[in-house]
Parts: sequence; C-alpha cells; structure tokens
Amino acid sequence: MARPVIISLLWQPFARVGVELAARHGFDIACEYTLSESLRSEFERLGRRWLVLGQGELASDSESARLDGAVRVEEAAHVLRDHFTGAIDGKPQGARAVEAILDTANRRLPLALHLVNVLERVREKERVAAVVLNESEALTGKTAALWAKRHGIPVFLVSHAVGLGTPYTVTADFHADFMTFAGERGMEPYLDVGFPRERMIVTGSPAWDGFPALLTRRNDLRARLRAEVNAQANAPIVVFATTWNAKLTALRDADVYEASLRAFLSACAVLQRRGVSVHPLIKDRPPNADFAREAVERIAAEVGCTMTISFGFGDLASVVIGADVLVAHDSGAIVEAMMAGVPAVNLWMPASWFSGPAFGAEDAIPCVQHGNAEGLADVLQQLLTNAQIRQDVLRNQAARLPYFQIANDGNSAVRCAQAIAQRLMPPVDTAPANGSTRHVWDDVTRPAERLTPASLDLVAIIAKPPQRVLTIGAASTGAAVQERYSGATVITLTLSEALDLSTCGIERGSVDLVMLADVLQKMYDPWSFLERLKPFLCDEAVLLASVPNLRTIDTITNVLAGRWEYALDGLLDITNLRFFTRKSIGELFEQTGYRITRLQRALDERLPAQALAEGATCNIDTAKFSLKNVTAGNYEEIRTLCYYVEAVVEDVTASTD
Amino acid sequence: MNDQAAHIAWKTNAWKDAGMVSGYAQRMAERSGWNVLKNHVETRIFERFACGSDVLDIGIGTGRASLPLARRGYNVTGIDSSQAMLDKCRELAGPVPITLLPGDVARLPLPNDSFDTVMALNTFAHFPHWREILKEWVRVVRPGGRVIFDVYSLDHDIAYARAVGKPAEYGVSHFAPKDVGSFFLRLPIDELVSFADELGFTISAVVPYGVFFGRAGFNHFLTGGAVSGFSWDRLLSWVSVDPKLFELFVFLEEEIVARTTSETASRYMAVFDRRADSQANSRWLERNAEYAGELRGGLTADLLAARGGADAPKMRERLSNLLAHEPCMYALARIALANLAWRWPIRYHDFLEESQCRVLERVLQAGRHDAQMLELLSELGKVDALGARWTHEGVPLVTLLSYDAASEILDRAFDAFSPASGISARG
Repeated sequence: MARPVIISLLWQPFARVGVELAARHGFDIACEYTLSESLRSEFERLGRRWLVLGQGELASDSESARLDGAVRVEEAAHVLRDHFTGAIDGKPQGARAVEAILDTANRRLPLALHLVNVLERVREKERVAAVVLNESEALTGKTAALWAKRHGIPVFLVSHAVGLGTPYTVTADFHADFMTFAGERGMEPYLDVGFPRERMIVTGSPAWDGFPALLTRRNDLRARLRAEVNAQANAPIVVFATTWNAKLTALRDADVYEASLRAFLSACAVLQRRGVSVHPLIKDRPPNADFAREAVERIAAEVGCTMTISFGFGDLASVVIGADVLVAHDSGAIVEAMMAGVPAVNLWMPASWFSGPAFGAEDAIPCVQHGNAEGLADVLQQLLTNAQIRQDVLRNQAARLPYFQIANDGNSAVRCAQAIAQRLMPPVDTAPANGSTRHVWDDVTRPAERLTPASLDLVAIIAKPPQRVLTIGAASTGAAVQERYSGATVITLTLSEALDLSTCGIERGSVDLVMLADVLQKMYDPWSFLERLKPFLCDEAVLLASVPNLRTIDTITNVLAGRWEYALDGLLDITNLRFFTRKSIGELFEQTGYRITRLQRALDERLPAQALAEGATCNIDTAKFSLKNVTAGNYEEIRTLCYYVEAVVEDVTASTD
Repeated sequence: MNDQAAHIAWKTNAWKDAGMVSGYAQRMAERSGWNVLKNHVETRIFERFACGSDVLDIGIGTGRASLPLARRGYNVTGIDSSQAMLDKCRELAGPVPITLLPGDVARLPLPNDSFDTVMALNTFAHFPHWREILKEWVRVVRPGGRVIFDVYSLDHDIAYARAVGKPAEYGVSHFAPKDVGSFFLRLPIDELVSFADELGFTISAVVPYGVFFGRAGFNHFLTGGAVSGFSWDRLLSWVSVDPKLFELFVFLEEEIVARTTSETASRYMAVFDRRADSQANSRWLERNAEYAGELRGGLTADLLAARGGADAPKMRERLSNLLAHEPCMYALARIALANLAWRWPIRYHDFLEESQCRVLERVLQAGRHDAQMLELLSELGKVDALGARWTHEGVPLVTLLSYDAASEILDRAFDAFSPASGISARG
C-alpha cells in the first residue's frame, strides 16, 4: 500500500513546503523539479519518494498535446468568429477580441492539455491526496486546480506574495479550497472578494524562511554590497526596487516602470542639489539589465541627477539587507525591508488608489506622491541623517511587521506543511521502525504473541489458586500464571490449536481455570468455542476473559471522522475479528451456557469519575458531538476500555460432546 | 423574556463594562481610519442645528457629540445608563463645565420642558420600541426647542431593492438585523415624520450622511465594489493624515450627500422642532418624495442648489481646488468607478473642471474596458459549441485561458497598454 502523493506545483522558493510534507507528515511528493543530491538521499533514508512530473513513469507526450491543441483551436476558430461578430460600442472590438483569444489559445492551450495529461498519469499510478499551488488563476495553476476539483482532490493555495494589491478583473476569482498567507494583510484582498475566512490560514511566507539566516550575516552583506558598488565611505546606499505592470487591467499607470524610476531619480537629484551624499542602487531583474541601464541613464540626465548609480540584478534580499533605505512602489520589497530592519518608503502612483492603496496610514510606511520629488528627498534625508526619526520609523515598522509576515523565524514552510497536513487524511504511519516501510498488517497472518497489559491484569484477578490452567493465546500469559502459581499445571494452546480441543490431549473435566486474555475477539466463532470448552471443565471451573470494549467515545469519534485504523494492539488490533459491548459480552457467555460472576473494568482516565445521584444523568461533550442524558451506568460503560469477565458454567447438563 | 426585552437588557448592560468603555473611548479618540471622518460629520450636524442654550445629550457616552458644544458655551447635560461612560466623559471634559447624570434613557430623570435642544448620537437606533422612547425624549423639549438624532434609513434599503428589480419587502427583510445583539433601528422618513407630527413636532431637516464610510456594508450601492472592504478602509485611513483628502470627504458629505434624501445613504440625522404644524409636515413629505424622484433621474448641481447647495461654478471652484491634490482626484475617480455598475447619471461637468473631467473620463473608460473584457471572457465560457469541444478529461479549457487572454484582449481590442493609454498618461 503506497503512501498518498501530494502534487506540488510550488515554485522553487517554496520547495521546502513539499520537503516538510514528506519528511514530517509522511506524504510522497510529485513535483515539477528535482531535488538536490543531499535532499534526495535524505528522502531515500526516510522511505519517501520525490516523483518528478512528466518524467520516468509519469512521462507524457507533449508533442501530442501540441497537436491536440492545434486541432481544437482550429475547430474553435470557426465557432468563435461566428459568435462574436458583433461590435462593442460601435467599434469592432469583438472581432479583435476573438483574434486575441485564438492567438492565446494557440500559444497556451497545448500547455494546459499536456499538464492535464501529466496529472492524469499521476492519478493513474498513485493516490493523490492534495494539490498544492502558488497561484490558481494563471494557466498552470488554474489547470491544476480545476483538474483537482474534478476529482475531488483538495487544492491548497500558498500565497506567493504578501498580498498588497487588490485582485480584480480575472484574478478576483478563486479556485482553492484553502489558502495560506504571509500575514493578516494578505487575507484582506481575498476577504474583500468573498473568500471564506475559515478557509484561510496565516502561516508566514515560506519564501522568506532564509531571512533569519541572512540577517546573521548582515554586516558581511553590507560590506560586500558597499564594495561591489564601490560606494563612497560616507554615502549611504539608497535602493530603488523597480516595478512593472501586471497588464491584467486597464486601470493602470502608463509606463509605471519609467514613471516610478523618474520619481526616484528626481528625488536623488534634489538630494544632490542639497549636498546630501547618497549612493543610489537600482534593483531590477536580470532580463531587464540592458533596458534598465539605458532608461536610468536617460532619465537621470533629464532630471539632472549626476550621481554614480549602481545596479543590482541578483537576489533582492541580500540587496535589501545591505541597503540603508529602500524605496519601492506598492511592492513586497517593502515588507522585505521591514524584515531586514531597513527603513522603507513607498511611492504612490495614480493607480495605487485603485489597486490598493498598498499601505494604510497605520502601517508605519511613509508614502510619498510620485510627483513630489522634494517630499521624497525630505523623507530620505531625514531617514539618513536624523537618528531619532530613523529609530522611530524602524521601531514602528518592526512592530507592524507581523501584520504582513506573521513571524520572521524561518519556520513558515513548517507551518504551511502543517496547515496542509492537518486538513488531509494522514498516511498510514509517519515513522518507519527500522528505516524501511512497515505496515500494521504485515503480521496479520501471524498473530502477535505478546504479553499485553490485559493479560497481566487477568492474572492478577485470579481469585482461587488454580490446579490445572488452560490458557489460549500468548504463551507468556501461561508463563505469568505459572510464575504466580508454581504448583499449578499450565497448558497453553495457540488459537488455531484451540479450534479443536479434542486433539490437544486435555482430559475431560480436568481444567479448573481457563485464561482467555484478549483471544475471544480473535476467534471467528467464539460462541462455538465456548460451547466446546465446557466438557473439559470441572465443576467449579472458572473462566477469566479480557475483552476490549467497542462502546467508547474514541470509537464514535473515529468513525465520524472516517477513521478505522487497525493497530498493533487495543480494540482495533488488526488480528481482532469480533467486537463487543457490555451487552454483547453478556450475551456471548449467557447464550453459550455460562454465568458471569464477576465483572471488572479497565477505565479510560480521560473521562473523569462521575458521582451521579440516583436517576441523574450527565452530558458528554466532545468537539464534534454531545452525548446527552447519559445515565450513570451508561457512563461507566462508555468509560470502559476493557472488560475483565469471570464466568462459570451455568448449565452443567447442557454441555455438548 | 421576549426578544425585544432581551435585546434592551443586553444593550443596557453592555455599556456598563469599564473595559468595553475605554475601548470605545479609544476608538472614538483614534485619529486612524474613518472614525475621525464620521466623528467630524456627525458633530458638525449637531453644531449646525443646536439651538438655544440648554442642551441635553441622551446617551452621552464619552461626550463626543456634545463636548464640542459645551466648549462653545452651551449648557450641556448628559445622561447615560453607564457610570463608566460618564466617568470617562468627565475625564475628557477637563475644565469644561458639564452636568452628568446616570439614568435610564427611556425614563429620563428630568422635568418636562427643560431643554432647548435634545440630542442623541448613535443612541436612538438601539431601540426597537422607538415610539415610546421618542415620546419620552420630546417630553423634556421646551416649546420652540428641537430634538436631533440619527437613525438608519429603511428608505435606502427599499431604494436598493427597487434598483435591483425586487419588491420593497426585499429591502425590508434582506437587510434586517439578524439577532438580539445586532439590532439596529431602520425607519422610513415618512413614518418618522408622521409620528413626530402626532407628538406635536415639525420636521426641520433630514441630513443623510455616511455614504462613503462606516462599518461593513455601509452603503448597499457600494457594497462589494471599489468603494468597500478593507481596500477602501485603507484609502480612508489616510484622511487622518492628509488634510486635503479629509476635506474632500467632508465636502462630499456636507455639500452633496447632505442635500440628497434618505434614499441615498444608509443613515440620516432627523431634526424636529417642537411646533405643531401638520400641514408643514405633509408638505415636507410631498416635496421630499418629489425631490427623491428627481434625484433618481440624475445628480446635478441645480438639484442640490434648490436644497441650499452652491451653484455649479462655485461647486467646481471648491472641488477643483481639492482635486488638484492627486490622491483626492483618484479617490473621487474611484467613487465614480463604483457608480459605473449603477449608471446613475451624474453631471460631472457641474462639479469638475474640464481637465479634471478628462482625468475622470480616462478612469471611467479604463473601468469600462475592464468590464467589457470580463464580459467577453464570460461569454466565451457560454458558447455551447465551444464548451463541448473544449474539455479535456473533464476539465473545462475555456476558463484556463482567461488570465492570458485578458491581457491580449485589453491590448488588442481596447488598446489599453499603449503609451497614450492608462489613467495617468498625458493627453
């Protein structure tokens, strides 16, 4: 029985979540990318699998998906062109929209088809417990989400961003069953569009788990950055994180990249005129390197900023930690600055007022209008030269950080994995005993010969020293009796031997004590056994049997939760075949010709003793249900884990042969 | 205990908890969020309509509505069932003289005809048995004096029902409070005026307010859109720091909203004078109904001018001053955007200068493009023939393309990403 698999489409910075799900919660993972060598061997040691989607046994032919896509688009083109011939507002937008849709389909449909095929391969070969995503609205995520929904597989969305913007137009929809967030702030846009709060979990962003470690190297990173950009000794580094249009809405700023860059460089020009020495650093992404340099050079010249300007195209976190101030526009970079203990300033553009604002007045982030170069210069100057103001801002930003990122402790991936695992059925067992995978049913055909606590209890309640003892089941029970009553003759039979007592060499009417420690429930036919036992018993013979109780809170709770987990011992010992309550134990003995003379119980200490007055009742409340008006007698039964029964033969003349 | 009695007991007792009181006072004193806006708008209404010299503030709480009057020289008496509130009020009053009495606001420990102005802020709406309450309150108003209080507007709920093509009963039932702890009184202005008339009072003014701020769902026409939710609250949070943004909202509330009817806003202040004049009351109700009808046809400066508003040129002058401050311009544009769905005709040229009208039009155009793009995508999903061909292993393929297609459609069908487009482009 293989472990359940979680399909993870999480991006590389979130890979740790998959690793945690495997290591700590016992799932196998199917993912788009491979793990590092060291992680892979760790997985092997744990007995977990990290499957790579579309590879090996999960391979799927992408070429056929491409051809399939092309055929479908061609079929659709005809239909769509016919349907959307109308004009919108008197302009031929309908027709252009159709071409836009068809072009999109041509480019993207094969990917979707291929992904569905790949996911189907996983489903064919494995038990898929969940799909975990970083986004569910773009093509890949949405395909996986809808596919999962189709098969009743829960979808977990791990937010990839802090959640500063308002999801609208096509992103104001959601396809996840549960969402995890960096902080409360991330929940708000989704609450605004109606995502149910009870399906939201704040875990912190796993992508920032590396931050605490980076922060320990703060001085080193700062020195490195200063050396890299060749900053003047007294020139603080002011980082500007560039920003690009998402292009999902018409409510956007025209060319926000250049406009925001211009705002920043204008402020730098002002600082320069004031004689305030700073070293600006433009942080952008590698594909934009050429574009960035050209734009910066041009704009700097236009606004009269002749400072040396450096560029950073690598990892944002290191640059932020090395900076003295960060300026950005409605960006998660600002939260990284808060985490790094670097003062952050936000730039407002007109569209800020529609997609946000990203920060409110209580968020401790100074916000400046894009056209206010003097204002931005003022803020930067104060943060760099006024120690009190800098300290106040840093303190306020640190206090406000948890609202954006719940904790900066490197454990968000752990929390995320936990949140996911808690909402899924657990796999069979999470820790292999000896490094290999074992199942509880490995020994089902060889009932364990263990001395259980019940056996020992049973020995303890023997009332009269026996002379000839018959024990069925674990040899150790017999040994325990022998140890206590050294003068007695103890015969031990296995369960299968006990099926035919007549071949066991026991004299009829010779046994005065029968020990049945947790064995009656392992028999297919305990009724016949008890009947066939009688001829071998002497007149004053006593039976002692321990029988686990079915009628417990745990039983109900587990069944309600859909759990019926066989175990190595207890009520659901995998070798148990028959189940009993107080009443059915009574029937078992009475119907086979015995009389119960003594009944003791092993109690569940989680349910406290109740001194109930005559006729009084109580209620038992659990998280999921309440048992109402429980009488004292029933309460005692519900508290019972195991019955210890002493029985004698009732009707001597009814013994069979 | 029946529901009503249970509710009243709960409300009375809730305010007695000192912990709750200081939280309340803090919330009131907080300069963050829209509280400062609400506080300002409400207290200004009381300042505007208070008359005479002796003022009674029923349910004075921490004195937020009447302490400003006390500071202006009115003789203020405040009554509240919570000693904890009164203590806090005393503390906040400082050296300003004020009489504070513990007492039941339903049975005032005061003689008849003892005050020129009887006022109640956020208090009247707690009582389901409002007629008895009002009767008791007006008992202590002197002849020629007045009573001022706020209440929620059932007219707003019904207007919304009508706007979405449902019967009036829908407005009544759909927005009704759900349980004892969350009761709030909604009254149609007709019913309130009629009852006041029976008591020998004449309607002096109805001041709708709170269109742009409040607790969740503060305005049905705005719920779920651009002017709602955490996102809007975040925008409003800046009014505590940005004086121009603050002034914009005060202007919108006082110059425009206040001059509309109880249909526009979810709450209103009612001002009644102790003067029996049934004819005046019925004339007022007639004119109000007529005006409400006119307003439904569209918002113009002329209509507002008939209610004391400034004429169009003056409106433009005042607003353009404020809108020169960019956050104001775009906050207003966002409100206009929320109106796109309702298409309530607003003659923007009455209120905005030409250049600002152009900025607004760019925003509205962008909003329309977004809406049209979404409509196209939605239609795409409904093309039957397409749907049948476009599923794979049970997964509907059309919707998968939305994200990428959205960009393409905005770009090619609406030219939304050209350098000349966008809401902040010049031109």
